Amino acid sequence: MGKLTSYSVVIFVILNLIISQCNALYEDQIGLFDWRKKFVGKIKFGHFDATNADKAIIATDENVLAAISSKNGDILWRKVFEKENTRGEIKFLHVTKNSKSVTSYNEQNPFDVITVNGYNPILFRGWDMNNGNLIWEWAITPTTTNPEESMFFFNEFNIYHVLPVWNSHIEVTEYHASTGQPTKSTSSMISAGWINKDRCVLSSQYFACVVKEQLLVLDLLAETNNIRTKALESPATLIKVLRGQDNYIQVGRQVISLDDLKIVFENRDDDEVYIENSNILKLTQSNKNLKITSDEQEVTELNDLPETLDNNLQIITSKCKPKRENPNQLACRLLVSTDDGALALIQQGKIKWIREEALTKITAVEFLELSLSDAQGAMEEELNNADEEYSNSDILSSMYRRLHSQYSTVKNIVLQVLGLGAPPSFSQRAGLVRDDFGLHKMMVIMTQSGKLFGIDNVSGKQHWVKILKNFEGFANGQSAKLLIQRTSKYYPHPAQCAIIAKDKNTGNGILYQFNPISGQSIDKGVMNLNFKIQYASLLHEQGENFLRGILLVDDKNNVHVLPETSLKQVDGFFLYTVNKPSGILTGFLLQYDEKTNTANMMPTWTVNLGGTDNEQKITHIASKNAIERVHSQGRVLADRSVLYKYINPNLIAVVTEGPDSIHKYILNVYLIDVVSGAVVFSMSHRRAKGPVKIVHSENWLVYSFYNEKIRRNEITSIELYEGKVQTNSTTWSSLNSPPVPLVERQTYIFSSTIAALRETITEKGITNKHVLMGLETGSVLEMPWMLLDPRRQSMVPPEKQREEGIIPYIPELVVQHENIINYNQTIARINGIYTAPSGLESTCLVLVYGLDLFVTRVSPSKTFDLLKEDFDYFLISTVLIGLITASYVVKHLAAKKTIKQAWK
Amino acid sequence: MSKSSSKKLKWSLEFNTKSRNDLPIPPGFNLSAAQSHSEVAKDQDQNQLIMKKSWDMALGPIKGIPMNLLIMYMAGNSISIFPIMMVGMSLIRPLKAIFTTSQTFKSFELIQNITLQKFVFFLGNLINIGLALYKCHSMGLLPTHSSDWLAFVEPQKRLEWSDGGITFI
Repeated sequence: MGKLTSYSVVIFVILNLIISQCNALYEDQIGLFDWRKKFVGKIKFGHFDATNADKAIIATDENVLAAISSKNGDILWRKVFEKENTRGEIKFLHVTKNSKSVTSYNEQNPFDVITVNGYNPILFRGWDMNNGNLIWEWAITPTTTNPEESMFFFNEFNIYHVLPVWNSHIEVTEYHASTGQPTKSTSSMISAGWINKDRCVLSSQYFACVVKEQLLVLDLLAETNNIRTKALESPATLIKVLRGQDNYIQVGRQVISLDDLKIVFENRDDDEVYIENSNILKLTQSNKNLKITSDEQEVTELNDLPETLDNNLQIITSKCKPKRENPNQLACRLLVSTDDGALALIQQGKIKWIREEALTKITAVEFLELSLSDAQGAMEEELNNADEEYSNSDILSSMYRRLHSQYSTVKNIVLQVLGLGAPPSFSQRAGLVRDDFGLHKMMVIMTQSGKLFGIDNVSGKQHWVKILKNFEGFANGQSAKLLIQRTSKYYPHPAQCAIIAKDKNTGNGILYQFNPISGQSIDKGVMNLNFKIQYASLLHEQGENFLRGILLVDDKNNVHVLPETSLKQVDGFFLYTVNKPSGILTGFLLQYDEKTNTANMMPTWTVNLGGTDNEQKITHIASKNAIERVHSQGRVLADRSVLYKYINPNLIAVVTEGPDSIHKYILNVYLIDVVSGAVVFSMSHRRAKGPVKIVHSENWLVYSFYNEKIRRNEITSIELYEGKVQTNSTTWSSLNSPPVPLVERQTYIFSSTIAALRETITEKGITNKHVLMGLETGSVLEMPWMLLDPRRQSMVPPEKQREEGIIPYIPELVVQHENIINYNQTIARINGIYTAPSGLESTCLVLVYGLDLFVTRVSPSKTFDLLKEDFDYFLISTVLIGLITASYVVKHLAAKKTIKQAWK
Repeated sequence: MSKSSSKKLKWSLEFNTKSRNDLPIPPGFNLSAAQSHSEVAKDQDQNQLIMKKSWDMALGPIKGIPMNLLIMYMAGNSISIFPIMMVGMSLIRPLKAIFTTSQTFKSFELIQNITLQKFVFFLGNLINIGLALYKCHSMGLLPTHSSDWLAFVEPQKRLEWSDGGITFI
């Protein structure tokens, strides 16, 4: 009998799965509404290939090794190493200068690229440059205390591992490159008490240090007499290895060749210097003008440098040859990079391509609706006027208005056709006009380096780029805030966004207001504030011109509002702040004082989640999406009564993690009402630790964590219900004794590690919610809520009590491959998922970011408001027209027949 | 009156255009003696018949109830096309009948007062409607549960607005 029921459960589940979740794409839909862009990260080392420089081998600070085509900047191949620096960080990259020499010493396994990764263990790898194949690999596990200080150089056949022990000695070990065999039985120790961490560099075989007014150079390959010195004119603080050719360093402002210790160049203006075949390339940049000179001879000049490259350009690698017409001059192909990671190739005074590698470090994203086209706008305007003047207008005047607007539309069309009309606006030209279904949006992306992007979500085109100099994220791991002050809905007012960040130099607040569609700044653009920002938020009400004010709280708990006319809207606003180090949450009530025209903060409650000895650290705060709308207020039970949802808009989830003497780790989750400060619910997971990923929406909460005890990933879901009656069906007040919720919870086992979690969101909230899970493997799984539902029961209830859409509980959550929304388009190192509603209720727009960008749409309840792509318009209309004609013909015939019969 | 009488004697032909009363009664013909007896008897007979007929009609819906009950029982409570059609029919038919009551009883109305019959007829149909509704209810087609009105429940309006997060300093 038991077997029977279990079979029936399995069949039931399978049926449910088959019926409800066939979400996969069809083959011909691949790439139809999704796109992926691959990135490599900010460049660390880079070299052109030796023969014809048609590709560059680069290593980046995202621990990626890649080959980039010189022609168009495409990635030819890419190897993504471990994210953690202990294993993944690329310490050394060697690209063979002369391709012939490679095969000569190793006929069987030609390798031309060597990388060294990490420090525990140190991984040595040899690669084939053409296809990125791994040729050999070996590792050593250093036993010293500071393996992360390791330096490396390559000489002929061997790799040298140089480990400086500061103020004491240098340890040099020699390995045969392709086998990893040490060439000597012991590593050589060179005692050098004068080495200092900040003042020493390694360039190829030379270990150079600045000691007071002297430059000491140690040749690590020389057997005897290996220290040379050079007196410096003045005590220099700066010492750095120059890019390009080995054995050149810059000390202070002097460029010194380490082979003969001669000063080869005096870098007076402290420009970027690069060594190419003993030629010194100097890069000067001023006012959108880039000049690269060699011995006072111009190599390349760019007069109109695009804004995206206007951020401390430096040459990464180059390939130069003498010009044919003038052998004294050089013609160079240059790979340049900026501080924010933009990578460009310059050749013959032109920029061939630009890669925006800043997009690997996205901190904030918003999707914005595009503005109306001129014609739509005019119509909107007319309707608006009609609304406003409805009370004091008669039929004639509105009739006149209608005719007038129609006349102007026709006139515009005629003028457009004749080519006489007003030039189309920026957004019109760029095709940035709202579409019928609101699927076309502008993605405003803020990156860690302060570079701001406006990217089209349909084509992936970058419409505008803005470098925000001196913009930096805040302390406590809080990135710069991107706020939407006004959306595109309020024609003729354009949309407006603001970025709030910390000034790199002063630490004060800094603000930038801009139009997200055109990328142009609004008003003054960058605004320097004269205080440090403690917290920033958007006000809930719109002020003048539908603009929502920005609430800023400074370090002395003073309240500032921008624009100041919105100040009185803060009255009655509840603000909470979370002090991450101490684990204390504080609630404030904001009050507006009419007499003094100021606002102040009144502390109302405090909750300490730090635990004893402040061991528990707050790791996550999850609040609900501000634009979320809940359509269904309850859930229908089997007996057709309603279980009303506990939808508290002021509820947040706080996750704390900390060590414990008995259980090793403890993970706590608190649900806190931030208006009243009440802890609505709390949970504790013993022997569980992060990384926690959390989603909080409607009346539910889903989070994933690692169960240390059983060593597996688990997902817990919680749902809150008010009960079978609603205490107050019209209003929600957190202060007016809100109901205590009923809590349903369930935990599931999940087989992969989750890198990002996000719920889908739609305009009206009618569509089901699915949870999008970014997995460490690089896929994004669309998990139906039905499977995460905490009301799934382990006992199969009799048929009458079975609720609709509830599957019996099974501990494992299966990764269903047809639910992977990025099919085979793996997204390397997923960092976050952003979802936004589209104009269609069924469809939700998704951006997955990490090392790569992936944009797609999902429709959790299928596209119920859209005809299928393969809908046969022709057949339907033919049949309809045919039937209508047939019925008329038949009617006529029937009439004839009755007349005939009447005469018989 | 003349129209209805002409309808009643559909096939009689009126040859004499002048009124019969104008003519003198033929000698030896006693009008009252010849007609009075047989006429009365015939009239009563017909009235009774009509009465019976009208009661038949009035009680029709009530008589149909057991039959309806049986059909409903046989149809079951599952929601599929046939039971739905059946319930729909059994709901629409009495409704239609109620609206056409006066037409149904028109032919009897002329003869005598049939308000009672009409009332009984109406009652019978009402019972039938009630039965159909009960069937609807037991099939779960009536919006009698709170869950049926869930889609119209408005979201609660929030009175307090809040925001916050980890401090930037």
